[in-house]
Amino acid sequence: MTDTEEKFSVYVVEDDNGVLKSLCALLNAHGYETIACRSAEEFLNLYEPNRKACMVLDLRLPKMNGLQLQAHLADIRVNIPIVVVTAHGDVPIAVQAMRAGAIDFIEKPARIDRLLEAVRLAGGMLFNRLPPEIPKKIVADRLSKLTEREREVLQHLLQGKLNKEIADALDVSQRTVEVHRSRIREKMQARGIADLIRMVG
Amino acid sequence: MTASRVDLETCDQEPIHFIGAVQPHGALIALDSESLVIEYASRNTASFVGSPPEALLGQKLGKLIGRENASALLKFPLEPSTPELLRPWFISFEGLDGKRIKAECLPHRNDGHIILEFLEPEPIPAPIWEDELLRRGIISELVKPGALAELADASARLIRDVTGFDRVMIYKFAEDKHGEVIAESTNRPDSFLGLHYPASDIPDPARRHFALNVMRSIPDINGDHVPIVSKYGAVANADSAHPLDLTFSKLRAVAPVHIEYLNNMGVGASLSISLITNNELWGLVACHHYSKRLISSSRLRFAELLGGTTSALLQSIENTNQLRKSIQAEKAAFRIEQQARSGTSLPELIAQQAQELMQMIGAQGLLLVLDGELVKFGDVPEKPLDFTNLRDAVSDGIAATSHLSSVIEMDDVQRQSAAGAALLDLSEDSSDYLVFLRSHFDQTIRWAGKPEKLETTDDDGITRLSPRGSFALWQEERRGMSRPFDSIDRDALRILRRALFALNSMERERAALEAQKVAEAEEQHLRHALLDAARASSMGELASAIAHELNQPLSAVANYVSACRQEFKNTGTDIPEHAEQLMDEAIAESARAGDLVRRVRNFISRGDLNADYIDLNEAIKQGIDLALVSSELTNLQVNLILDQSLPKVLADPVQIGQVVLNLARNSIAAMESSVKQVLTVEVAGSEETVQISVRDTGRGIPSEQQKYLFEPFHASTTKGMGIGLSLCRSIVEAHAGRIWSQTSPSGAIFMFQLPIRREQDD
Repeated sequence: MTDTEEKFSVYVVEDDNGVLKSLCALLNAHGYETIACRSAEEFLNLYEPNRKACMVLDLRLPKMNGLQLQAHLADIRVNIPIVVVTAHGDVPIAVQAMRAGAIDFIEKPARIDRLLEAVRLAGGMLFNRLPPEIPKKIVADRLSKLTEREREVLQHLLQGKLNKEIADALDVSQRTVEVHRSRIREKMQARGIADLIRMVG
Repeated sequence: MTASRVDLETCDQEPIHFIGAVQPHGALIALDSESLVIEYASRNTASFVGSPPEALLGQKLGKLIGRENASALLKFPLEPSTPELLRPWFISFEGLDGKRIKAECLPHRNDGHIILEFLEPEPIPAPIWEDELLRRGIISELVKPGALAELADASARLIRDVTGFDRVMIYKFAEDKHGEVIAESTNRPDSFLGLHYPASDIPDPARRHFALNVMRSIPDINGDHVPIVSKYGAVANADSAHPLDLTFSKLRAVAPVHIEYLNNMGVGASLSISLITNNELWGLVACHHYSKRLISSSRLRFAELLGGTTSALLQSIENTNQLRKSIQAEKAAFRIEQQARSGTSLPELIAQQAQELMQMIGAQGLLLVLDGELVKFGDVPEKPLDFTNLRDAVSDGIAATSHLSSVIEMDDVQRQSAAGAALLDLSEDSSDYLVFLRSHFDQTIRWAGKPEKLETTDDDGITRLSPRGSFALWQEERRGMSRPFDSIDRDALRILRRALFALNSMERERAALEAQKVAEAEEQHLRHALLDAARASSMGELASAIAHELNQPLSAVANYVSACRQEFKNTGTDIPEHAEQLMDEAIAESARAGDLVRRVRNFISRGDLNADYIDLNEAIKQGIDLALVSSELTNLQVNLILDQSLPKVLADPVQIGQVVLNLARNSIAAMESSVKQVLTVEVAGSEETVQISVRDTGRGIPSEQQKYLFEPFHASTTKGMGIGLSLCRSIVEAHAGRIWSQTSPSGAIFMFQLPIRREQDD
């Protein structure tokens, strides 16, 4: 990271020591200053309002969990870009976090390039560069390409439902849902639910 | 004929013993039993004792019949016997007019009076036939029959011979008092045999007289009523201040209603002999003559003797019948009990014996309710009957009625086949029961003659009191009713019920025991299932926890490797290309490990399959490769026989790889100390299935472990938690396949089979 003007810190909130330290090491290697927090409470202690920073937040935390921290921050009007990291299977919670204003969410084990991209996106917000929003018309065009069934599946996805739940609700196999999902991703040019939520959520 | 039309209903109250008149074939006088002063006399005394009533009333008896006769009378047994029989006293005395009078006198004492009835003396001595016929007839005909009907026939025939009446019928009264003609001897073309009469045909007062007096002789139905006058000058009937009680009188005048009845049949003379068994009126011998008929006293007494003998024999036959029926019932019960002991169930037993039981009870239908299940035999209405109301009448486990439709709700169709019913409770809670059904009475009557042949004399429109009218009336009365269940039936029912109830109780007890055993086994099974479920769920939780815990270090590893490479880049260090590649592989492998862990967890907790159409050979090869990586065996020889002709199969490659990995790992572990270390993995496809076998040259599987091999936490290797094979089974079964093991002399063989579902099948 050579552009000093856009230098910012990353609060990493993660209760697993190994993950916490490795994440910090990775982000450090990519030029970010990191502040390691083992809990939401520790983050609140260490948080400096004047520091330009974003946050990588594990939603599963002891005591105050990620969602609660996010809500609390909104209450006390702390506006910090948040990238959510979740365990697989916590997608519904992650969707909630997205709706509450998280920039992106990444499933563990995180793919490193995805994580770095999300952090860059969050950092951009600090410098008033909103994530490049896709024009409404294009979104509408893409949506119009979905079949009725795909739209139905999309609604479920936006609510953070799992494949199995969608399969049960629509009385189809999980495999069919998976096919629909991939078509939706393709037609909407989305990498995942996070993109979908950003577009239509 | 002096009788006026009388309503049958009112005559039940009519005091016929205060009729105040006698029939004209004899005369009556009555004395005060203390003073022996004559206080009553019939108007016709002059014809029989030589003096009119006026000459007799107020006189002492001795004045009429002489002192000696009078004192002899007092030694005579005067109290009426039970029942009262004819006890003639033959006297001769000098009448008040001086003429010698010979008379047959029937004396008795009643209600403070001694009543003397005088009949014409026997005109000629008793003929020889009496002795002979009596002797031979009774011995050869009357005593022999063992059956009721035969006896009745013989009796009717003999009595007609003796009395010379045109028709002699034997009536049997049922418990409900209605009568049936069970035997008939007649010289007439028509027949009354088999007819039934309503109870009201013989009103209660008449019945009472029949029970008290064996003989009732009416030589001339339409003979004059001869009034009895008292010393006060009035006729001594019910209306007078001093009526004379004629309960035991032999000459008592005939009640108007009876005269009407007999006239309707054209009968001119009648003789009835009561058949009394166990001190009850069992029936009647009714003798009808179609003109006047006066028979001699000796014949009358002879008929009385025949009646008495018949009664005695009837009673003996009845008792025998009852005993026989009871024995029959006991035998049936015994047979049922015996067969029950040999293991036949109650419904089967009833089914086997149904016909016999119905015959024994005189039923046409039989139904059994056991455990809520209904079985029918014979004539039973299609639509089920609700016996709840009949149950109210149950006493000692039995309820019987000849008029079922008056007890329970029935529709017309049901009424057709179920007129009467006897219900036998077979359990304390009344949920099991047996019901005998009887059809309509008139359907079960055995006709001797056709009813059309009945004699009719009702020119004046009086039909009610004719036999046909009576029978019609009886039929009307009996509409919808069956033959009643009598005491013999009830005895048999009781015996049957006792045995069946005991059997059913035993069967219920046994069933309860069995049910308990089944319930216990069920509970055991459930407990095991719960235990399994608990294990499975704890396995799921365990897998979930492991997945989570493993994910963290795996992420960390990937992060560190990635950070490491970035650090090299940051410092401008030149990373050898090979090292770069290794780092990429480290990251890829950790991602793969994470993927695997996640899928296994998903699979266990939700049974998810991430199936696709895959090349099974590839997945198997990967599994084996992984197993070989961790192998420490130095001499291990691996034979991998793949089937390249295999179509693509719908399966989850990671999980199938996991199965092969597990099996191969087990095999390798089993060969640790073997000299020969050969692992053979073979894939063989057929049309429907593909079979994968993994065989080793290891120590084999101990037989005691065979059973539990695929159950969780039964570790066959000392390493691990023993969930490997259980997991394999779960995976294979989730693919709709099966897995099993074999022991060969050279080691163990594990095999699993997956169905081939081609893409076009989906």
